[in-house]
Amino acid sequence: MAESDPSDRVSWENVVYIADFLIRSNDHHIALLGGEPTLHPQFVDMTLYLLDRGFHVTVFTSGIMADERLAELKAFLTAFPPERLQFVCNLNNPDQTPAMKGETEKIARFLTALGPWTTPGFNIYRTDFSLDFIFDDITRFNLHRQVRIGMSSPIADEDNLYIKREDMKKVIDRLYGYRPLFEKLRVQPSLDCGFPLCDFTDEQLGWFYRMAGPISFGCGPAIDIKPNMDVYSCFPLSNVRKRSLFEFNSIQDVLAFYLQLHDQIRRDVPGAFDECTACVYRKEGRCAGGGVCHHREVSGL
Amino acid sequence: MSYPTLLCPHDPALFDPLKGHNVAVRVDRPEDVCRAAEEVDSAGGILNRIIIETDRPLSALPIPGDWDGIPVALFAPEMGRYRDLSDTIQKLYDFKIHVYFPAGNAENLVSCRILASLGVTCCLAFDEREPDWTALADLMTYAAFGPVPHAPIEPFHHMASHYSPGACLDWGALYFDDPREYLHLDSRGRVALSRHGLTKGLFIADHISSIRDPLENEGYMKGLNAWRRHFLEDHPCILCEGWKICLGRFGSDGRHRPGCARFAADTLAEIEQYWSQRQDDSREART
Repeated sequence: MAESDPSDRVSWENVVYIADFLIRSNDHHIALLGGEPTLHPQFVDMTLYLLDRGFHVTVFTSGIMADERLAELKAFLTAFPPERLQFVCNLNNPDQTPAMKGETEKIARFLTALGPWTTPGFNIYRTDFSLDFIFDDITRFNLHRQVRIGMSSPIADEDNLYIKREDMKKVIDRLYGYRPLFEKLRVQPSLDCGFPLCDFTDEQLGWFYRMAGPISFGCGPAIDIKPNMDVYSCFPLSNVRKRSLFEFNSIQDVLAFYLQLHDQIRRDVPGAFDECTACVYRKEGRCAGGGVCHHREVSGL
Repeated sequence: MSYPTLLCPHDPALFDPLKGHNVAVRVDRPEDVCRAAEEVDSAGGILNRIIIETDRPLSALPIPGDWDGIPVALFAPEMGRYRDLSDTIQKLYDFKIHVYFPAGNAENLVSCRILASLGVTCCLAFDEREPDWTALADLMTYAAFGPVPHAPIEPFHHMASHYSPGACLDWGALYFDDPREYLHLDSRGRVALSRHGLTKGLFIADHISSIRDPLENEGYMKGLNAWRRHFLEDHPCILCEGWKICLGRFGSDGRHRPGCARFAADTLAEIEQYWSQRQDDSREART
């Protein structure tokens, strides 16, 4: 929705077009991402507009924003119930990923103001991650009793930090180690895409199910739309097969197009990892065999 | 032909002789809307519309609940911040208020799209400022071919729904500027054919009572065909491809503008396409 470059901000015309496009597709959910979407000078106005058009809006934010912007959010958006408007605030462990000066205080101010509308998110990019701070934040700021947990994925044609295949089980085991805290505080662990089914023990699977319901081990297009109306399958595949939203008639058309891309990636190598080829769970469709972003071939497409 | 609606300033003394007529009233303040509507009703007039012109943004105007049921045309210079309007949108929609913005302000083109997408009827008023013709063409396409139902954006909706290949299309009545639909009264009750005529003192009668049948009034008959002056004056507009859907109105007061000819021609092409599509649809429905 908004990058630091003012020319890369979504326009009102495009917001109306996207809203029409989704409504025509009978899709009434929209997520606003960035960069940092709250940087957009008309963030509050555009969000109100989408809410007025009947959308359920999810905003992915760092929580770091000017005090004036936070005051706007509080004044204009909190009239909507958390069922209609939700913030997902990705939080970092202050010890492992130290914030820049003043950032921690800003995030605290955001969570104080909008805690009941906020689900904390945590992105795992190292195997020795620590989650304790998030449980403190959930209690302190009255956040949703749910944590969105993602594993950092490789971005095609870029050199970023991510969890390697051989480390995924370690990550799952470490996450499971927080079981007492999840249970004590009744916090749901909500897993994003990319976790492979085979790395979970039956005991772990049962526990996750009991706490948060079924886990999807699939990998499909999430569909990101850029301010210039470019679309791509999902952030890790942002450099692969970009198209313009104007080329499509509905979100179902966009999904079908990127499902073809996923199929193409999987045609030769069915799963992202060596063991996926013979895996019965992949064959039976219960696991996608890791995210397609893990395929080495992606960068060549 | 039915008698045109009489458009007067807000002065109850003017309303008494208008019993049985369709009446539109121009008020200066939003606070006067309900009173003007009641006064027209008390005088036995049939309220056509209350027109408000304000220099405040739409978002700064109070829309009280008692406007419900009163047909209001609201001329504002701009929409203002959406955040200040969000709470009012439902009333604008429920009360069927028609919002008018000057087309010369590019932001207003975006505002029309926003409001129409929320069900609020919008009208672009062409004035002395030249519009951004490219942005206007985008808006026209949205108005005629927008994929999701939305409220009319005028004058494009009127063009699309009233176009007929063999006839010229006059959409002045949308702006109360068509003597077949509206006659304008000044504070002394004198009658002019348009607001422009009112301002210039070009009256066709000293009082409405002297016009029993407008078609018998010489000034009225001349005014009906005012567009012919373009031909008498060899105005550049008469060579424009889009003449028959514009009649010089995009140029505002007959001025010719560099970008408007292309825009009018493109608009005509799209309106024709829309018309053909509707013809095909109705043929298909019949079979």
